Parts: sequence; C-alpha cells; structure tokens
Amino acid sequence: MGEGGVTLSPSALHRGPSQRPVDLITGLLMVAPLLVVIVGVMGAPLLQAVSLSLTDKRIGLPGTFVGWGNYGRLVHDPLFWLAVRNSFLYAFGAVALKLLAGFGLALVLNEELPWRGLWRAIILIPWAVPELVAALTWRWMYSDTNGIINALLLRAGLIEFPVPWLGSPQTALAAVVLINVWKGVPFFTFSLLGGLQVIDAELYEAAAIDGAGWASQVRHIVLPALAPVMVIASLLSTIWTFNDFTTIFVTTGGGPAYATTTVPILTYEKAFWNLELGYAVATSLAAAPVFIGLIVLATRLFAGRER
Amino acid sequence: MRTFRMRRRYAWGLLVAGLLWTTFPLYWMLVTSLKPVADMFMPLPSLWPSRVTLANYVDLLANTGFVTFVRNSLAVGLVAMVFSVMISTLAAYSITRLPLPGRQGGGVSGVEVALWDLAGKAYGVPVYQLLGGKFRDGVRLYCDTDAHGKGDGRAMGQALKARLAKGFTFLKMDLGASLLFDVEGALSAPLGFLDQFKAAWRTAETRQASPQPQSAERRREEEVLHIPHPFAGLQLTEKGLDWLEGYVAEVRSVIGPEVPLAIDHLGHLNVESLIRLGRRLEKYHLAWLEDPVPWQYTDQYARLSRAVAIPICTGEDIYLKENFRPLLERGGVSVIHPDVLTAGGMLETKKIADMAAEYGVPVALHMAESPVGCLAAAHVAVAIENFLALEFHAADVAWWSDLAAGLPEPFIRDGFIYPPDRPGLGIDDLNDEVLREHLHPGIPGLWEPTDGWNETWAHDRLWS
Repeated sequence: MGEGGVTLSPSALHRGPSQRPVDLITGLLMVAPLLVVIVGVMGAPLLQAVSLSLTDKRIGLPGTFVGWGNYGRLVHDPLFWLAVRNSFLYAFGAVALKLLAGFGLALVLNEELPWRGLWRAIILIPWAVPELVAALTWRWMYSDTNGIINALLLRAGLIEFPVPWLGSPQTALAAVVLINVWKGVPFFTFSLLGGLQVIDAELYEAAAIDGAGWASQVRHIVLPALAPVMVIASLLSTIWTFNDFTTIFVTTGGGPAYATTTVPILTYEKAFWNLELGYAVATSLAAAPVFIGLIVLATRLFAGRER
Repeated sequence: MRTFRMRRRYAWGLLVAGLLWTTFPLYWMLVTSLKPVADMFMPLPSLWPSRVTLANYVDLLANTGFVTFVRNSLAVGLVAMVFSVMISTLAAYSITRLPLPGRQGGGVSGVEVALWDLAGKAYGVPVYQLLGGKFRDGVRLYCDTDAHGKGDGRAMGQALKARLAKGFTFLKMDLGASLLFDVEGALSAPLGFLDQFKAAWRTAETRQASPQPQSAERRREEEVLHIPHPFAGLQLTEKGLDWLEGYVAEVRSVIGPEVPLAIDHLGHLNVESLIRLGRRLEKYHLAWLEDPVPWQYTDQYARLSRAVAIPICTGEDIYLKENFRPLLERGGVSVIHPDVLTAGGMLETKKIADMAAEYGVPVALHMAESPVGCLAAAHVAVAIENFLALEFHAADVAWWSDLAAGLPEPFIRDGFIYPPDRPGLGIDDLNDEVLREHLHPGIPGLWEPTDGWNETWAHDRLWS
C-alpha cells in the first residue's frame, strides 16, 4: 500500500470515529475495478436498453419518446404471449430433461467402472461443440428427405412416411428441446458429479450400518446433498435456455407458424425484420421479471440453507 | 469400504444409453463429413457410409480461410477467458468474504457418543472394547433420593430402605439448607434475604412441573437462586447443625451403618458452615459430600478437603479433562464426578478417570439421562479402573428403560447394569411410542425442530 493508502500505524489500528472515512475510501478503492466493470459492461447497456424501449425508434430513423407505449402494445400482442408460452415450454421442458439425464449420468460416472475417465470425457463432448454446429447437425439428422432419424425409423417399421420433425407444428418444439438437451446435459452431469464427489464417504458408511440400501442412500444422502447444486445448475440453465437463440434460429427460425418462436426469436424478428428497435427491446425487457424472480428465488433458497 | 454402489447391470445400462445418445450426433457429423457430396443428399441414408472420401476436408483447407478462422476463434476465446477469469476471481473472492453465520455446537458430547456407537456397529464390537476393554462386567449403580416430602430422617430412612429392598447397593440422599427453611432459628442470613430466597425457591419448585416455557421474566424472579453459594451470606446456626445431624443420625439408624451413603444438594452455604457441618457428620462415614461450592473455587475445595474427614466430590458441570486437573492437583477432591454428556464424551471421561487414577481418586459417574446416555456411561464405567458407582435417578420411573429398544431384559439386575456384548452401545433404536406418551406438556411434538430454543432461557448454571 503506497502513499495515500493506509499504513498500519498504531493510530490506524485504533478504531476511533476519525478513522472511519479512511476505511470507507479504502473499501471503495478495493471494489472500484469491479464496480467499473459492472457499471460499464452491464449497467450502461441495460440503461440504454431501457431508455430505447421507451421510444418508437426504428432502424434508420430517429426515435421519439412514447412512454410505456411499447409495453402497452405488447400486452395486446398475441404473438408476444405465444412467444412467452413457447419460451416457458422450451426452457422448463429442456431443463427438466437435462436435470434428469444429468443426474442419472452423474450417478453412473461416479461409480467405479473400468475406463471411467474415458466415459467422462466422451459425455462431456457436446458441451464443447459450438451451438451452431450442434444445431446444424441435428437439423441434418431431423431432415425428412435425407435425415438419418427418419431413415432408421422407416427401416425399423415404426413410421410409414418420413416425419418432418422440424416442419410440423406438433413436433417442432419438442425437436428443438431435444437439441438443447443434447448440448446441455454435460453441464448438469459434471455439476452434479462434482457435488457427488464432495459427499463424505462416511455418510454412506453410517447409512449402510443403519441398513440403508442404494435407493435410500440416494434419497436420504445424495438428493439432500445435491439439492443446492441442482438448484443453482437448474437456475443457470433456465436462464441460458430461456435466452437460447442459436438453436432455434438455425433449425426452425421460429416456425412453422410460430410454433417455436420464443422471446429471443420474436425480439430478433421485430428488430431486424420489422426494424422496430424500440418495440423489440421492450419485448426482450418484458421477460426480465422472470429472470429476476428466478434469481431471487435461488438466492433465497441459498440464504435459507446457510443460516 | 465402498458402501454406495449401483448395481453393475444398471450402471452399465445407463452408461451405454448415455454414450449412444451423446455420440450418435457426433458419429453422424463424422460420417457425413467423409461422404462425397452426392451421397449426402441420398434419401434413406444408411448408418455406414458406402463411399469414404477426404475431399470435404481438402476443400475446407484449400478453398476457405479456415486457418485464419481458427486463429480468430482462439484470439477471441483466449482474451475473453483471461478477462472473465480475472473479473470472476475478484468477484468470487468478495462473495466468499460475505459473513456467513455459523453455530457453535453444543451437544459435542452427544455427538461423540453417537459416533462411538456407529464405530462399534461398523466394527461389530461393543464400545467398551474400543475404549480398551473391561475391568468388570457389572456397573454398580448408586441410587438418588431427593428430600421432597421427607421432612425428617425417619421418612428419608424409609425411602432409602425401599431402595435397598430393590437391590441397590449404594445410596445417595439430598441434605441441605432447604430442609431448614421452616425450622425457626436454624439459618442465619442478612435479614429479609431468606424470605426472598424461600419465595423464589418455592415458585421454582412449583414451576418445575408446569408447562410454560422459561422466560426472561421468570429468570429475573429466580435470579436469587443463581447466586454462587459463598456470596449468599447464609450460615448454619448451632440449632441448624443439631437438626441436620439429627436427620442423618435417624437415617443411619433406619438403613444401618454398612451401606455407603452420599450427600448432595447442600444448598447455599459458605465454606465455614460446610466445615462445621462436615465435622458434625464425620461419625456417619458418608460416602461423599457433593458439590458443596461451585467447582471453579479450587482453593475452597482444597480447604474443605483438609478440614473435614469426609470425601469431597464434584465434577458434573465440568467440561474437558484439563478443567478437572486443578482440583486433583490441589487435593481438592477425594471423589471425581464427571458426566459423560457434559465432560466431552466417552473418551474424554475415560481420560479424566485415568488422570484421577494417578492421584488415587476414584470416579463416581454423574448420570440423569435416558437409557442411551446411561449405556454410554456404563461402557465407560466398565473400561476404567478406578470406578466407584454410576448415578441412577430413575428408580421410580417405571417406563424409563422402555425408552430404548433392544436393551437387555431386565436392564437393572440387583442394583447393577451390564453393558450388552453387542456392537456399539447395544441399543437398536429409540422407542418413539413410549417417548410420545411421556412428552413434556409444553413441547407436544416428538422430534420437533429446536429453533425455538434459541429464544429460550434455561436454568443452566455453570455449577451446581
């Protein structure tokens, strides 16, 4: 600590009222870098977005202030509500499947199986595959003219005609959910595997002494111990999935007939097809309460556990 | 020993399913990349490529800026990584510095006992074996008898005789200043203090049976009872001494001279009064005088022990071996009296006993607990050389031994307890039905959360 900072003199150690301003300044200096980053990277763009959402800004034209006008329009926009519904189905459906599959695989990869390291590495691969590549691959596999999925099902006699998985309103949303699941399972697997590895083996020994089998050890030791990891992984994944743009944009573009249009897709459509930037930003910000709610919920859950 | 293990069949099944699901799209990517362009658009593709070619890869390297793209990706990725690691590290550090409230663990001793039970069950041996083995098979009990409703030595003598008839071989009774509250001229104290003290004593006694939770107000009312003995200014008069001596003489005449008889709950007397009382009682060869003053006053114990030819005893409030040492070093006690659930657990009690043995001091074990705590004490009692007797409070409680399941039947045989030769402490479980029948009226539920206790005032002095 140089000049102007704090030196450890006896008077500095004495916690008198006159010392408090020094402490405050030191404290502010300590958090200043982080504060700059947070304000610059997150605060300023957010503020700009909010102010943009209160204008009728169109790309290429100056915007004028319209107050809550865009939000009023949103409330009466059936497309917006459809996108909200799709977003929820997409996010919660995908997260539920990822959690389930991730938990199962974490339990398996925690077992002492031969070649465990290799299996772990293979299971991790989808996480490293770029979203764009994953989406394109799956689009290729889903194809109703030369896709491998239809080919296998036809050969097995399970379907009579190729199914346009991404082209039919009945199957499109489920089909894109599966793509997201494929990409996202490793995150859950490895978060939960990490959680499993820090569970003290003595707990299992104690439970075994009391006569607990595998299933009740899972129920009474593993699940309670993993609950915090499950909550935080699900929360993060919900936010990512909710915001996932690439998977849907590359495969269906939001179609057919808006069957897979989620809030980010609708935002894109309004901003870059309709060029209504103000309205588009309002669409995107309207989903913020969902995230705030999720984050508050998760932090509450954690605070409750730590107390 | 790995005890958490999935059935191999299921593990492999799940793993294969997971690997297929994960690798199939990757496999398909690879297969497609190796096909000639014409084959890619064939309907009904087969799982295996019919013709394999590296033409796509050659095309990628030769005719696109692939190398540049990779370099761009790496640059973007590395720079982003370096910055996010820096920022995240700072943020993570500050988050970990947030104050997280912790809770200091009471019940250390209880947890220690539970761990011994588990260790015993894990290794399939009784806990006394883990403590070094047995010096004896049976644990002698000494049976408590309070002074309530026994206003004269004859009544007390009869109560003690009933204990002997049940087979108990060692006795203890309460004898203290409270017996003299209604005896004119038996006690001397600053005028007015005795009335205040008696009033608080009586409300405390009646409230002991009442279900109201303890409150700050109640604690204030009973504050006078929490004055350490020497600070109360209470003295025995000659008449008081005569009365107490007469009481003990009467008790002895009923129970005879042979059975050991200890004395507890002497009341708020100072050392001088205790010396005078002790000298009067010497001829009744009492087993010990228990907790005459707070255990912290080591020198007062030393004085009392030198002045009176009755064994002096204390220890039920003392936590950890090092706090017993001063009393032993100064010759303040002739009997040491730890409680397994206060001293710090079974091993700590064993260590205390071994230390006392070096000073030639025997161990009586304080115990006013459920059969679980009792067994913990019993396992220690058989494993220490200098054991005298284990306290037993529940001689008049018919359902006491039903609280735990799996105890030997009968649990108490002729005034002794025999620690079972079964793994751990030797109990199978707690008997929730019996527990439920005998709950405190103020705490109607079984195994309720204890959060409410944080706000409760308890009668928990650091001394007796």
